Amino acid sequence: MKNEIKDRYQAYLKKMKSAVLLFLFVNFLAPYNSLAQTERMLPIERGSLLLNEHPPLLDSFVNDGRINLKYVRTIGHFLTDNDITIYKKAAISGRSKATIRHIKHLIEKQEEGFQDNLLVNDETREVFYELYLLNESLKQKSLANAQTKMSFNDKIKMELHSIKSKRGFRYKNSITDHEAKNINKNNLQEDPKDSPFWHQSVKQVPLDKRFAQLARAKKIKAKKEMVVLFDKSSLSGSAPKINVLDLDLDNKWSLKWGDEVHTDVVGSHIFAALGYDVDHPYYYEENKLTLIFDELKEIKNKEELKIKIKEIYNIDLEPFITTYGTVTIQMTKELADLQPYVGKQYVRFKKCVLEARPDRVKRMGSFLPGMLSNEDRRELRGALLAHQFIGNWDTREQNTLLTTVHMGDYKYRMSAVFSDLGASFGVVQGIFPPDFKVGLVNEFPWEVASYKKGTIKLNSSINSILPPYQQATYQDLLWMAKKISELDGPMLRNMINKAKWPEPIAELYFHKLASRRASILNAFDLTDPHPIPFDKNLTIKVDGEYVVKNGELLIDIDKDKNPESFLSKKGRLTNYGH
Amino acid sequence: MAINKIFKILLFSFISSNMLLAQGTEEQRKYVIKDEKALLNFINSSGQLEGLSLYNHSQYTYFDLYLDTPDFDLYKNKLSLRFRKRVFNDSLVTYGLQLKSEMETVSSVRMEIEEAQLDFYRVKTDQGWIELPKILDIIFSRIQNNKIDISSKEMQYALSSIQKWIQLNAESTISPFQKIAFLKLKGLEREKIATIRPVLFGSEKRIRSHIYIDPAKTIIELRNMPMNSLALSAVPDFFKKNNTFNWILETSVDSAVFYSLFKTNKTQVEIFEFEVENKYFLHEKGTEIMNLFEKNLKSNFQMENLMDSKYRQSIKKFLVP
Repeated sequence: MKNEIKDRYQAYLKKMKSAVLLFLFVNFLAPYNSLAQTERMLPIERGSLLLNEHPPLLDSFVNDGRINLKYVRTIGHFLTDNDITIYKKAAISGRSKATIRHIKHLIEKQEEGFQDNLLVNDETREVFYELYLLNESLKQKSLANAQTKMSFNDKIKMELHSIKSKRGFRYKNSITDHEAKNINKNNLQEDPKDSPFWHQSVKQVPLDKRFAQLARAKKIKAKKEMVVLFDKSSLSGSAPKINVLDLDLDNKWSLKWGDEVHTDVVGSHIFAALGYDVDHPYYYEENKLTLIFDELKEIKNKEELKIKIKEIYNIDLEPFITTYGTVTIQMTKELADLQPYVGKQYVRFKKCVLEARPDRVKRMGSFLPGMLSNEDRRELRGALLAHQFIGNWDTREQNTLLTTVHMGDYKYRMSAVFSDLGASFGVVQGIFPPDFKVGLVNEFPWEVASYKKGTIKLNSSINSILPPYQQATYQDLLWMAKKISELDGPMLRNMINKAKWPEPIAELYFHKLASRRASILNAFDLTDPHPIPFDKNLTIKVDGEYVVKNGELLIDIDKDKNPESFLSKKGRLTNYGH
Repeated sequence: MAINKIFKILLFSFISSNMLLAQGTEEQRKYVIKDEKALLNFINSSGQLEGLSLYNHSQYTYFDLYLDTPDFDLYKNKLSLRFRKRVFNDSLVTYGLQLKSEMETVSSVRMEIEEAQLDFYRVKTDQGWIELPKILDIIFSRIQNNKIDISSKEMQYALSSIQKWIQLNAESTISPFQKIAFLKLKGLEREKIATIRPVLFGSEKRIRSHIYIDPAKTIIELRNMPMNSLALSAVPDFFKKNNTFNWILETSVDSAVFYSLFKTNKTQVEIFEFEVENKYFLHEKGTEIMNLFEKNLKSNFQMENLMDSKYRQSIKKFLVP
């Protein structure tokens, strides 16, 4: 009997305990949890591609007011038939299974519309825009891949654009004929509609969390400590990098070293905060990333990796390496992910950046900033000021990207990505010898915009004045200036912290970005909704020694840990001076 | 005339080999089963053969609807085209349209081009737009319910709907149709693709097994083979749970029955065969293991190699006067 009472009492206590826990969860934890959940679950829709005036290039899709099925099929075959292998003597690459499936969904809608003798409407036009962009982007990618080295003409063009942009971005407060025709005169800074090129902010997601929201939608899982597997060497770009695999072998990453490891992270966060889709680079501190080699791959150990990086990029990787050797059982006790790789060769680094290539995202070519009237899009014209804000120099078309994002359950959305935003935050170029270096805080001016005699002047040079930037007007830039004004101090700090610069440098960048932001708002005569205090004479002492004095970095902090250097102007083309 | 024939054979071989180098291939071997009881005992007991372990994991049911031109030009060109409904362990269902080539030798690789997701394709009927899988299910449900009456109104409606769908989509972006057009084979010119219609239907039960290396129960030569390297999404649960087991091959015991949709003396054809597929990431090494496994199959179960696909075997039997 006693036991029975005891059991009942125990059961009662158990029930009460559960009830208390439930009460605590509902009243205290759930609100925070639901906030995180909303952010996590909030879907990102594709938006609309339709412009007020449809580009004449789309007329081929229409025949007597109805769908021109023959044309739709011609484009459909080019995009989906793997037996079409050549375009203008260039090998076609980039047709992934998921992209093909997505395109077939689009084509099938047109097939049905044709059988129903449907009159062309906004829904069908959305598909025409998308098919056209995908088609041209695939062609662009194939031709770009065929050209392995930058031509002399391209180099000259880059130089000319750099010079021209330094002097040429001047704007008077006026309304162009184009704007008069296309924009609501009562609201000249009207937001564009959500589109694959840009999305409005939503209350539930703070601006500095938009990068994370995009990453979740793409199922990117960057752990605090990563183990990745060597896949293959990379031949693209000038920053040293290789392609690696996630341990699930479904997802891929690009592993990079050099002067962009901090800048790419902040640049991408800021662009995401302003409404753009971006690449997803994550910074890894000393020994937080382990690269495992497989004896069956082209590179089997640290020595071979060094040789390959030297061969492709002419950069000595040794100063970036901390430890290497064979994975031991002891190592697996500290990092369980290493368990299947005992006995394999590995290498770890002082610092690196891991950029996601998730299975959910399929990359096509550029997003065609100069095609299909994209130069008319405010969101692309306004991006010029976003580039200026972070001081991004490398604005070439090849750093724009058209992607297809799998949203699950075989549903896809097109998304335009601003890629490779790392050539920013203080860029210097050398001609003799040819070289360039990014992320030099002392080369990152305190101001980016100024107003004199009724004219706004921007001072950051870019190497490619793409059509939307050429077409950008005062009103477009004012629109972007308002977006930049929405970034407050804590947001800016949070985004800078993601780059994990040494503290004094992060602080200096915070003050410089706040100052650049203020210069933009002042130039456009905007009232600052979130004033961020900054000090152009910022001074920081560490252990009694001046590290930053009067707003200038004096000491190359932890030079051994940062082999690319924060002061030396020797860049990737001169082996960072090593 | 003979030169012409040789040229055609060479051309076909060249096209086939090029196709095989491209995407959509599988290395598969087929066997006639002589000692059915011994084989099934071996599979049911998840037995072992010379260092290779077997794990019988699933039973699948497939429903097939084979297609061809009125003159059997796919058959003549050593191709087969089928709608396939797959039922995995009585739960998961998928639909696909597959184009496959015949094997040229007992160990050759087959081309396989699949339109893998049919759910978003629809057929316009008198009752409006209907999903293609629903139309296919009208046909396949006859087999399930053992009502093989091809002249029934329902069946005729389904068959004509399928034929209509093919006519309207022959020049669309359906991968098998794109491939047939690309191959430019005799009797399969672009306009002839629209004449393709259902010719056979049937079902098959497949007993599926993994063939793998268990390091604790194998021979030295196999123990040191590198672990298979596949994307996690492609790794079966069995190997996720037993991560020291090295997955090399996949096998299935197939028992199928097919019914003709054209006039023939036979009412049905039954097929019983064993299939082995290479799943190893180092393909050539996987082929070596296939050879080893084949040697043991032949000595233990008196199996013989088979080259014809189920479609080819069935048509040969149905077309016998």
